Amino acid sequence: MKRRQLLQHLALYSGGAALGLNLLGQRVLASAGADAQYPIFSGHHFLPRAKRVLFIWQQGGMSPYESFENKSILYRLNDTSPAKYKGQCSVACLKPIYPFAPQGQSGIEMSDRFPHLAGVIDEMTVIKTLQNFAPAHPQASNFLFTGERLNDKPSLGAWVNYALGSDNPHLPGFVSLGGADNISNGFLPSDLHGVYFETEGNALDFLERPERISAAQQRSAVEQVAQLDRLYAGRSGDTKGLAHGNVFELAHKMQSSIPAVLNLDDEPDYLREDYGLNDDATKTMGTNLLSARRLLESGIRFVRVTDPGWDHHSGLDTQFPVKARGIDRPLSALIRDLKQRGMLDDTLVVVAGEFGRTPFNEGKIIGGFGRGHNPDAGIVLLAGAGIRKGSVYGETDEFGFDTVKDPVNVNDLNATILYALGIDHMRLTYELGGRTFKPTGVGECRVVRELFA
Amino acid sequence: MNLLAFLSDFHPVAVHFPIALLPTVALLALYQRLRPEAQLGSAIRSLLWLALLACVCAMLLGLGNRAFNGHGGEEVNSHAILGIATTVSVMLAAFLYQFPHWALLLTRGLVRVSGLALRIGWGVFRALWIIVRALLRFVLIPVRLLLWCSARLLPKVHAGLEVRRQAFALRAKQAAARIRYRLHTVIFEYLRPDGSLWWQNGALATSVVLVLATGLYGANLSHGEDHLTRNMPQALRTLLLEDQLSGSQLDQAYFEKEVQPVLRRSCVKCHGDQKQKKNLRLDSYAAVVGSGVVKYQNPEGSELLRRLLLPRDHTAAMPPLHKGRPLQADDITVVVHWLQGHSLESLVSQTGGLAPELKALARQLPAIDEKRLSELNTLEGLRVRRLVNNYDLLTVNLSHVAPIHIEAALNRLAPYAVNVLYLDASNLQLTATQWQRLSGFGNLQRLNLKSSNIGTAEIQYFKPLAQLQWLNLFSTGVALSVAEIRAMMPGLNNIYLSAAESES
Ligand code: HEC
Repeated sequence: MKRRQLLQHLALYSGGAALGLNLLGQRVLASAGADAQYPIFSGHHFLPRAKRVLFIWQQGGMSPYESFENKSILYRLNDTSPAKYKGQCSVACLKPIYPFAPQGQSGIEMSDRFPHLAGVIDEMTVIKTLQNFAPAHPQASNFLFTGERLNDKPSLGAWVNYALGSDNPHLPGFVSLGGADNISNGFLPSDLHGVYFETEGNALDFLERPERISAAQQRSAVEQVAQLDRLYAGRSGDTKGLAHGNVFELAHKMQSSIPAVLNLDDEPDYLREDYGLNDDATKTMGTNLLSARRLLESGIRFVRVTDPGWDHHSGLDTQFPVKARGIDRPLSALIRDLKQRGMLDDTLVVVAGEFGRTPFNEGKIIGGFGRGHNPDAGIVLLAGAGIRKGSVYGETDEFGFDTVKDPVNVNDLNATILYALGIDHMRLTYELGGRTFKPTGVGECRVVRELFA
Repeated sequence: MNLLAFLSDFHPVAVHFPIALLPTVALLALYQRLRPEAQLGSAIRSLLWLALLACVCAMLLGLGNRAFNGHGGEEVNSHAILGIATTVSVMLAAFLYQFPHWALLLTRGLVRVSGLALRIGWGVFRALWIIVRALLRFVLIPVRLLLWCSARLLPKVHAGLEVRRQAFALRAKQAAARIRYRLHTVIFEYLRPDGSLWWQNGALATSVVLVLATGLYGANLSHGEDHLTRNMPQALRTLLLEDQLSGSQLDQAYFEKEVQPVLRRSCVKCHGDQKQKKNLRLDSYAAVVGSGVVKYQNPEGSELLRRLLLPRDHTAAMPPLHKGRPLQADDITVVVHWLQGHSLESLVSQTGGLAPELKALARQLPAIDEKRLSELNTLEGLRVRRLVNNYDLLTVNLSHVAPIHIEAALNRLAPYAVNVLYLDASNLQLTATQWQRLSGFGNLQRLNLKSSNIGTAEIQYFKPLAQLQWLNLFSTGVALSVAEIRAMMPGLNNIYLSAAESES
């Protein structure tokens, strides 16, 4: 069936927007919040494997060659320009800088910069063939999170909550730690915007109630705002503004809920140690990941943790080990922690950058050792929610420069994340300006079901 | 009376005679036309009279059938009217073949009449034209004045215009003459006085068409609408009949589970057994599919959907404004999906990924309608969802229900306790009775009790849960070992106890 055509027809008949949601093929919980501006699905398209998602964004794009991609040809051709790429690349090959060894029962090859992660690699799937549609950070990040090139589109976390809503009425459904890029609600209702929490100091600026305002006063202010919004919606028929009231309401509730959720002092010492909270090198990621676990545990559906600084055009020899060390221990602690609490069965953990890096040494030009952007083959780590344990997905060519088998583009990745949550990305749509938007951009993409056990 | 009724039952037998005879006559007439020396005239004539006899018999029996055997309805009426028309037409054909000169007379009469009509028409037209021209003259005085002036002032330009005008007038006259000539040819050439054959063959052809149409109608009545096409090869069907018949490929199970409730609510009041507006019934799969208002894999082409999507105040919108319960947005989705050609089975199997045992289980459990499901979710913090759309299996999250609402939540869930497969009761602080109530969720497969106040005593309540596969007791007061729990609930695959003691 020509879906586009149908949508056009429907738009003709009915003014489109009103029907956009209805074409989800989706029953909706009419009562999810008195003024819900979005469908809260009353059922799943697929049997859900995950209830929540933790997306760890290695912002900048981690080098495959210093982590999981050990290509023998690069040792041979180190410092030379291979005939194959003559004329395309002016720089010479760079061999993997750190020694590789097979790890775990599964024998996945890893560089020695990730000794702790090696201990939990048997819980994970390593995708080696992440593809993006743009070679530069801003566009590639947009594609990674929104499926679209421009930066005004909803981020995946907003989409997920658009479909499933937040389970905990006192917390937002989409939270970002470590960075506030690419967490927009786009055209979706504004209360779906990702909420950015600081994990050091005040979680959310100005969250606390100023002393000279009493609790009752504040409560009544929030209620009056919501009432005005409802009045306006009633008169104008435009219900978008209701999200505004929801934001106030939620902020009000978070005054009490957030400090408790983010208080890591509750955690036992051994766990704090395990996450690396006592070590400056790992403290930032440790804090973020432990906070993330607490947020997920308290019912937040989508948590994104940004780990900036993986854009190693140079400094693979000096900066990369710092980054690797920063994430290595906290991430492995997180996996173990989730597993022990039974949360790994229904939490999908995704670790991905916006793209991979080239087999060539860019440091030749700007000094030191470094690699350029490669949108044709990047690394993703997946764990939990029924993802295959200790397995590698996708094959790259002998240089690791291009994908030869099982490519996973960023839209495939997002379609797969949604699949794990029980959502069909083709049936999560929003009608705007005559176009039907879905979380996975335009063009072909697929759910990579092979990733699941 | 009884005898008549008995005889009338032979209508289906009698009808075969005219159906066989008339095409035969037509074939003979055709042959005669091609081979005038064949001398088939008498054969044609006698067969035609025979056909007339057969027609009259069949017609009378048919009318008898309608009168005595209680057949009725709009379709029967159409069939009867066609049958009568056939008889009349055959009568005419037989008459004209028998008395060709009557055909001649007919032609002459027609020619006279039409000639007269033409003349009168022309006269009226002329008279009108004279009046109009006079009026135009009057109105155009200023223009003529202008032209007169221009002829004096710009003689050259004026002369050029005059030439054009004359050329145009000439062409108009010629055109009028041509049209008149055409009309004459039609009347005096084609219908020329010796055109008796034309009448005879015309009547015969009409008879054949009518008898076939009557027959087809009758067969539809007795053998069903699709009696000719139901075994048609798919390729041919797509080629010829996509538009009329494709509805029957729409999935019946989907219709009955999803679409029919919608129609029942909003449409059958007027399109059901009480009333059949526009002769349309929407109260069964067969009726909907046979009505031609739905098309397989073609929502845009389906009249039914078009009616639903029209603006509410449109005169053709269904249900009509202020009558019948308006559709919910969701209802339309269901209809669209059905028309797109989804089947219930394919929809679920391609998407749901439910194991066959669970599907089987779902069929035995009490059904939950969407409205009930929505109502369950109005309690703050309670989240109840279908595990997979279309199946009455639930996943429930109780862990964010405030303590004061817990009792209410349990009450709401009670009627659906057996439908719950996944239950998240983590963080809950319940009384022993409440734990006992939770253990009544007999089909539970996954149970999350993490950080709740469940203890060694209360966990015993859950012993009878035979389906339980996944149990999370992390950070609870349950002082049992994994082995002890496993002994208690042998079906468990995953048990989460404490940092040291977990097993999966
Ligand atoms: C109050 C009575 C009423 C109700 C309720 C009603 N209809 Fe009708 N329907 C009519 C009438 C009267 C007509 C004929 C006038 C017309 O064609 O608009 C009609 C005509 C139609 C036709 C056109 C049939 C054709 O052969 O062209 C369709 C299709 C139809 N209705 C579908 C529906 C559907 C679907 C519903 C339920 C959502 C519905 N109707 C509910 C009264 C009703």
